Amino acid sequence: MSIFAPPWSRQAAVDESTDRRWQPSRETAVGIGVLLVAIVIFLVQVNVRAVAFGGLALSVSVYALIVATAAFGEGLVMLAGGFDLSIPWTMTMSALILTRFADGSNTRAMWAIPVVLGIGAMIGIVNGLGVVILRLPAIVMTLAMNVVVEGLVLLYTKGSARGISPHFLVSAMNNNVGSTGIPSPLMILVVLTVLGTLLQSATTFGRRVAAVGTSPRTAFLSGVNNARVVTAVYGVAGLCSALAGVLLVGYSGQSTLNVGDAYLLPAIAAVVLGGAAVSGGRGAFIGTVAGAVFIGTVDSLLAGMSVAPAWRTVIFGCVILFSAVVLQPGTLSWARRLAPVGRAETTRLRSHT
Amino acid sequence: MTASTDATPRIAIPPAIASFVGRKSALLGATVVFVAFYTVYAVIGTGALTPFGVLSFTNSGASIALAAAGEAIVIMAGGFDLSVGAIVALVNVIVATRMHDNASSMVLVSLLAIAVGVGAGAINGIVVTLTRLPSVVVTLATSFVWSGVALLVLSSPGGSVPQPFADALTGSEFGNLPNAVLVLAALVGMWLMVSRTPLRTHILALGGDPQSAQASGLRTARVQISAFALAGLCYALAALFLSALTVSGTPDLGPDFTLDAFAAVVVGGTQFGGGRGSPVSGLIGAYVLYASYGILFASGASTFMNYIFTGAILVLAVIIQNPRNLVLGRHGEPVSGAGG
Repeated sequence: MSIFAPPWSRQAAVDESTDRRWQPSRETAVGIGVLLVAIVIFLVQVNVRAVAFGGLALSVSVYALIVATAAFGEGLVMLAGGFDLSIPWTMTMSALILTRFADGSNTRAMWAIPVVLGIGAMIGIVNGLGVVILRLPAIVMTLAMNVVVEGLVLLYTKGSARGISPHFLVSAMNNNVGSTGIPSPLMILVVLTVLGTLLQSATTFGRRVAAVGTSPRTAFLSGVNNARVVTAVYGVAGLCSALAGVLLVGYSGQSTLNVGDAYLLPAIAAVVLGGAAVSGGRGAFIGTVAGAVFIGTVDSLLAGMSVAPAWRTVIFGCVILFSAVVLQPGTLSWARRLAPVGRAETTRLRSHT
Repeated sequence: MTASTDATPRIAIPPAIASFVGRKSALLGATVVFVAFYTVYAVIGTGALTPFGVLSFTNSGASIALAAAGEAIVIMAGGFDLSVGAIVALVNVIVATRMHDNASSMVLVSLLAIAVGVGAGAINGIVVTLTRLPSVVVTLATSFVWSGVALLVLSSPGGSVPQPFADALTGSEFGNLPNAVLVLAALVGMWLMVSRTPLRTHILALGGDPQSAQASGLRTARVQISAFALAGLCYALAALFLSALTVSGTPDLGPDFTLDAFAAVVVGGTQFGGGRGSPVSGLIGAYVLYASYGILFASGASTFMNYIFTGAILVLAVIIQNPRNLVLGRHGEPVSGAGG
């Protein structure tokens, strides 16, 4: 702990956890704020531009659901102080293999979906073992894993996407629940949010992950099996990426090569927008979900204003950078300015040397 | 050297050479690996030792080599640049759409290309400095900005590059010596010049320990931005070479290029974490990579094998450089999610 420690960091975390009364953490507050902004953008679109409420709600919630699913895994890895760059091809793997095996059949999907989720979890566990046993920097391990999975999938599929999605997935991702007018992806997102928040914030596992991310040594000395926690975290992340791929083919009805490439930045952005600390130890899944909804509404706004795809990419990058600057704990604040350049780097990279 | 005090006579290695080998062990190791790989490639492949074979091999690896040199500078400064592919694509499409077949246009557009590369790199550096965010996050976000701008300049692969410009970079003016070798030598020369200024030491100091560097009065912000801008210069050179090689523009170059550049740095022997390394490692590493691609191609493997191979070699290179890190890490610290 350096003398530059800003007040919101570890000491604040300790105070918070010893206080028995519930008060929203900084991340939860950020999450609620981001969600409110997203809702305002959404309502402005509906009222000012007269977009159909139902259609917009469906498209935003589908995008937010897919991003939030991948981002749950990414957020958990970042909470543990790591970084997962293997999302794109884990997603693509699951999308390609699911449509190839299931090819429209619901019964074949009953075993195909568990198979792709299992492969995703295996990919993640191998990432985790690389970090834990080989002690590779997470960035290197997951970047290498991404490209290895790319090669294996292309070899297996001979570079062609085949088959269509199981029908029940397509209807689940493209319809409303009964006649209520609530998009079913939104319902799934709510369920995911509750489950994710419980796992991350209310279980021993979640607390251990945060402990490892805050200080590996302290966590270890308090009896946490760091190696097991880190491996499990990457395993969950791989599972989430594969699940995001399943949801994606449910929405689009088919799979294409490189389909996962577009989701790495949104997933990381959702975590950062949700107020999680990039250097680990702090984060709430509700914030990540808010970040995903925010990205979804901004994306639909830009698409609805018929902004050229190239400009959308530029604006998207800028919005994420700007939000990250505003929302990261302490960026641009005076306490942080006293710290030398590269401090954020060292917490992450020094341990690799 | 203890040779003089030792009772048993042994071959005395001149201290200058011993010190050189000690300081450059990573680079020399990578060079040995390159020679071994290229020998295998020459044995199982055809034409690897003909002038044309050497020329096309040198040309194919040159743009990755130049880009990897830039990435190495950022890594030396303790950072990490995921926007390599996007900046190279941006400069590449500018060249492919703006350059005309006359001398003044070629010179002016080349200068513009270099200015764009340095500018984009400097903006990366400024954002990292101002926000104090990890450079991985910043450069991932800016990579979207740069590739978006690249798509605005040229919406789909196309454009053209004048043939004289292409020949000037990819031909061989002096007998069988590929011009690419001269470009790479120029980059090494440029780095040697930088090494004569304090900038190299400052970059290594910043990468080694930012707090100590700051405490000893180093203007860390300036050094950080300079490192990213120098990297941008290398990316611009890489893009000029790529334009000459492909004679067209590719706006969606992206992630694969970044990965190759990154793997080249690691294979060349520059380690993560900053404070160590040299851009020359990027040059050597890129050719080790391309020699191995050559071996894979000559042995009839599917091109998809290249992906698996790149990933495997990336992991292996990091393990080989830090065998002591296995299981316990260098300092025996309990593992965090970041590994290391």
